[in-house]
Amino acid sequence: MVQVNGSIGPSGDSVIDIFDESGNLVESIIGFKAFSVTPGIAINPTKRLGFIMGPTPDALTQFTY
Amino acid sequence: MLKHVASVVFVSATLVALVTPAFAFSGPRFQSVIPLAVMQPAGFRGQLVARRLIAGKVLHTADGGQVFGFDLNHRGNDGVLGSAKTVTAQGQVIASVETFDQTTAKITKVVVSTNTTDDFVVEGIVDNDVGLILHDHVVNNRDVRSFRSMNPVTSNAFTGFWIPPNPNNFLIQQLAENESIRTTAVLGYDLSDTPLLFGSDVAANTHGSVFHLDPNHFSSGDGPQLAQDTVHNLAILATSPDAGAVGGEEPLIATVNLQS
Repeated sequence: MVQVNGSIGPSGDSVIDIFDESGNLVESIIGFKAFSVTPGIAINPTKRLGFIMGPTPDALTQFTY
Repeated sequence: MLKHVASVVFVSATLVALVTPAFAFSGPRFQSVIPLAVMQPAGFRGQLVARRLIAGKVLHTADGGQVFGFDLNHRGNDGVLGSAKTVTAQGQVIASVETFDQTTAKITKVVVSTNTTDDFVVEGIVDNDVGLILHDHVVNNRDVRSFRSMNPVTSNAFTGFWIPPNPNNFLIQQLAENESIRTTAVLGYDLSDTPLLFGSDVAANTHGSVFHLDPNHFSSGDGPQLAQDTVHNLAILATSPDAGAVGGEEPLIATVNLQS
């Protein structure tokens, strides 16, 4: 799940929250700014890797989880 | 969530120390790597603590256009994105579909590029690396929509067309996340905003029954969200009864048997 204006980390930065299937927070990833109000996100569960839109309109940021 | 917020006080100083010097920046416009910090709940109150740093590689579109949809192959290392940027006041657009490498975060190939008023939107990857791309082709100021498939995306080429039911009266809204079975749930609207749902084998360009959903619950203003139970071949829809009002009612959940 993406928080565009995240509840942790530097003000104005975004957060990716990763939950298990019971709704428990597993981890949060900070240090980036997602682009747009509803940034696209996609993951590859096999590689535990994903991309999210931002920090600029022409870019995707890679993350692992 | 309150615990989540409260934990910021405890971790912020640590993060500043951890994150800042770890990676080199190449400038705000064209960064190649962003340092990301992974926080995990720990201890009795589950406060978030910094566990590790990861290098967030930044992928830029080849033509510098804005990303219009992207997706990743779940069984491989490839991805696909749509890109577009307006270059003249008259509405000329440089648009492209580009494939990329998930590991290196580099563009693999520009599959197609146009310099007209057309654009492309990547709707997603379904099934076994089958890409679905919307092509908005402007003819005499009229948008003529068509859908191209890439089967597989690693072919780095358009390989066919996908034609939805009643294609001249159809706007796609969502593909369900599904890269495990051939039939994918598709949510869309006709030009009167009547919501439609059906299952489609995108690779084979075939469709199941078309379900006309209640516009009082599933119109675009209700913000319906689509998922798919691939074990039981069900489409799962969540929709807001009050158009997403802050603090409003809980969502309604609906299931549709795609085989019926």
